Amino acid sequence: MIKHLQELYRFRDLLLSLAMRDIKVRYRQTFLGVAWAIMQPLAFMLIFTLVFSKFGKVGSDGSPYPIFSYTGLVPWTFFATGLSIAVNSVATNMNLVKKIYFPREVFPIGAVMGAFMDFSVASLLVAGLMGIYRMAPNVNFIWLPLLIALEVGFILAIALFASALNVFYRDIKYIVPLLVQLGMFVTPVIYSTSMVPERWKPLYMMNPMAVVIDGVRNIVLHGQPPDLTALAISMAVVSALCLAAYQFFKRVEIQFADAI
Amino acid sequence: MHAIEVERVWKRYALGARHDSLRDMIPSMIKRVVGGNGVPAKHEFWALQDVSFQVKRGETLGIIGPNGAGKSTMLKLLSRICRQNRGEVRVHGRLAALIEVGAGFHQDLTGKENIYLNGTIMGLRRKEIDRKLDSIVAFSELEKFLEMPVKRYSSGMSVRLGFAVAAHINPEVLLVDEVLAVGDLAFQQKCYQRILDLKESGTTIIFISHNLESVHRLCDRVVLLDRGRVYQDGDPGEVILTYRQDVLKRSRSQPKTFHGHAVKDPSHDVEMFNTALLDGNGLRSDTFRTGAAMRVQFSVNCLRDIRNPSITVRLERFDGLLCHESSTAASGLSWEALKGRQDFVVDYPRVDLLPHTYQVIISIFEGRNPVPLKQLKNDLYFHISSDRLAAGAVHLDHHWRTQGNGERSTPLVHPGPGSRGL
Repeated sequence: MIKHLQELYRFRDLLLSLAMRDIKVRYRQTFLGVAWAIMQPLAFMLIFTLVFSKFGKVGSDGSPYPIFSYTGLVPWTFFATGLSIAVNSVATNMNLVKKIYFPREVFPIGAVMGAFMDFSVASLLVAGLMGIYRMAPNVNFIWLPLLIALEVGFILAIALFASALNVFYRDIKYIVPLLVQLGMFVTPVIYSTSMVPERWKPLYMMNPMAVVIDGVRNIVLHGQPPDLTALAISMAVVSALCLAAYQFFKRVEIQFADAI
Repeated sequence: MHAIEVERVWKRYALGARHDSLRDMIPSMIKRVVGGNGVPAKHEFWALQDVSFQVKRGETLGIIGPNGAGKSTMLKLLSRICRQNRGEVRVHGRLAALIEVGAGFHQDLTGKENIYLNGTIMGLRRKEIDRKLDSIVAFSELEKFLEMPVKRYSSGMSVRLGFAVAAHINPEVLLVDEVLAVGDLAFQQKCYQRILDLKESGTTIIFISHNLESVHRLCDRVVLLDRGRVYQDGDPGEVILTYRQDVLKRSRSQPKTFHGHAVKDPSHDVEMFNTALLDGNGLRSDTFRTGAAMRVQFSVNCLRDIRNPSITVRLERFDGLLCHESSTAASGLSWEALKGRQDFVVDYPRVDLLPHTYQVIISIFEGRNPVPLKQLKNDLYFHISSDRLAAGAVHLDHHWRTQGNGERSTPLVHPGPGSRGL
């Protein structure tokens, strides 16, 4: 394991090159450029506000629905797009996999890094929205990096596992986005965790994304710390998943070139 | 201390329908559980079988062999792209493989961006590329085009850019695979020169190519692979000769014969039989030296009168090159009508062909009809062997003379009359 990480470190320039390649290619020759990173969560926020808040009267714990949904959408978009690109990242680059040696995990990790950049840009708008609704940052913001780390870990774990599997079974790239879409309904993106019945809460909070989004909302909207027990458990679980996923990836990696 | 050690390596591939979706996989999983292990099933094959060789530090090893012999597979094992099923592969030192020039190039990125992308893919560090950037750009001769997206480059420009990056990799072990087949002559010259420079500075090189001339020039040793096994390992000249004589012929499709003759039969009016190749002593042979005597013998039986017949004897190299054709008409042998049995002999006092495998094609024509009445093809093969290494199709007697910085000349290379060849 250490050896693998050391080797990955030696190839860090390649990782950076690939991540930059994806970002540049995505925004070059586009009209809006990087602004596209904000488009998706923003567009969904507007639709959700209209449909779920105005029409559906979904509760948002007293916060204005726009910022309520946006604080859920930004992490969720990172999760969904990061995964969908990462899952197919190795299969898309098979021409390189067959010809040159380097640690293959640079592909899913690079994809997640690219999505993280979009996430960072989209997060800026949160500051803008906070200004509009006259919300100030508070001391609990120091928990945010931990939540972000939790999300990144979770995405990486799934990405490593799914991208490796996808090389052998190409329908994984369809299955994962489908599961993600379904997952949105068991994650408090549209609604608040307060709407989840008490007896289901422990199970519900086993979803790391629920912990992340719920935590972000606590911090940004209510000036409260996140659910620390849930956070601790999730971090432990996600760390274990990451390790297992990475081991799996490295074990099957050598067979990639043989699978056309 | 060897730079590369390949020890009893076996690698197999699975053929046939690959199951790349879960839906397909389940029935085959069931089959696999019922089936066995160990010996590959009929739908798998061994690309490499019990392959072993070593390469010393600083040595240049050539790997040659027909298509499908396992050369590319060996390369992949050496560069850790895939893993062998049995045996060991050990490479000591930093390895770089020139398997494709411009790997990873993205069309939307500029030349300069692609230099960094391709460079890091090939294993260079960013700082290294920073340092070498000017040299890379100069090598590619593309200074003015660096800020242009690569999709607007011509194919020649892309190749130059890719190779400029590749030329700045300084590995301890270099694998080269047919990369140099692309580009114009000036470019190929540059490529080979770069390899020679690396060779001079002590880089261990493995060179895989079909270009036997280059292999002979560059390599200190050559390994011949055939159908996954090491056929021969040693001196470049000897191994290349073996390749030409023994292996090339077998790698082509086997000739089809029925009733002992492979005769094209547009008409039943003529029979051909008693076909043979004889050496200078009148004995049947299928191997001749360059410049030795050879005789083609055959008999013809006409079941009706054949008007204005002509017979041609073609010597064709295995890759289809027509080396020589002789006809009765051109040689002054003509008949108004040919009847009954006629025996023919064509004597070649000196068959000045170079080592290769050839076949004799005998055709019988009537009048001006271009379709032969009978043709013998894919049946009468022969091999030419020689101690001398030469390139091309034929041997030509010649000698060299030079003046200026001293005067020298070479003796005439000539088999001599009644000789047994070179």
